Amino acid sequence: MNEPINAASAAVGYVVGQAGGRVGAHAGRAGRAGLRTARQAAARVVWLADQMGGSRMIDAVAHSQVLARIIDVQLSRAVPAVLDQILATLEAEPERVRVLIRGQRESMVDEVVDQVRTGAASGDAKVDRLVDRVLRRTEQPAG
Amino acid sequence: MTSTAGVVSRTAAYLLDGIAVVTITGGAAVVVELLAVLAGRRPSGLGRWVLVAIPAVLLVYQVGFWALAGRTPGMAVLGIRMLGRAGGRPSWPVALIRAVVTDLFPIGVLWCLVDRRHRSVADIVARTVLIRKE
Repeated sequence: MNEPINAASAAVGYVVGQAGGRVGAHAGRAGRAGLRTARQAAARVVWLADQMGGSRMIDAVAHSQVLARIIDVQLSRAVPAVLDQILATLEAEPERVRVLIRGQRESMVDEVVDQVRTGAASGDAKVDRLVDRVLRRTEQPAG
Repeated sequence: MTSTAGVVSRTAAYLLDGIAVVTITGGAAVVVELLAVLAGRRPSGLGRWVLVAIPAVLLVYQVGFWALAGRTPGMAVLGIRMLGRAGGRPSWPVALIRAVVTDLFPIGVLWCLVDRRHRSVADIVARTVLIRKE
């Protein structure tokens, strides 16, 4: 490959080099233009968000039909799988379920009993006040 | 903190105990009758005796719970407890006397309206007091 370089080869090399340089320059300009366009688009979005107000933008995104459909699709795929896992776990550990149900039931019963007691005590106090008023009885100091 | 139970709490507890006794007695009578019918016998007419049995069952129920626990289930729901003269659980005779007076003269509970220590006639006769535990 040690051939001597003649004038024709040098001329071709020069032309190809110039052309490559021009292509590279064009490509660089196109890339810079694309970057500039992307920056402009982002700036436009930010400007739009500012114009619309941040919360209105968020509202628009949150209530968009597309987002709702995306969430629906994801949920319809994820929920059955997660539900199956949860049911399998509960089936494997029934004692946890029993404890949960028992705790829930006890708290409900406690709440009802508390309400009954509070209501009865309140009723006692009201009846006492009524009787005191009817009998014109004044409360005596304790002891 | 403790205070004496008033007429509303006492009446509510008494009604709850009454419902429990009627349910237990009536349920037992129904079960006995059903068993008799299933065994191929004629109905014994036990239902007629339920009305007579209810006061007796109520008496036994009250005496048993007061002497053993110091309160009936109805009183437990209302958060009230009976104390004897010594300040503890009433004895069997005291529980019996109080139950007899309460069941024969239930309207005596109204005396606690005018009594400053909220004692009913049965409380005065049996020397007991009903307190609310909070």
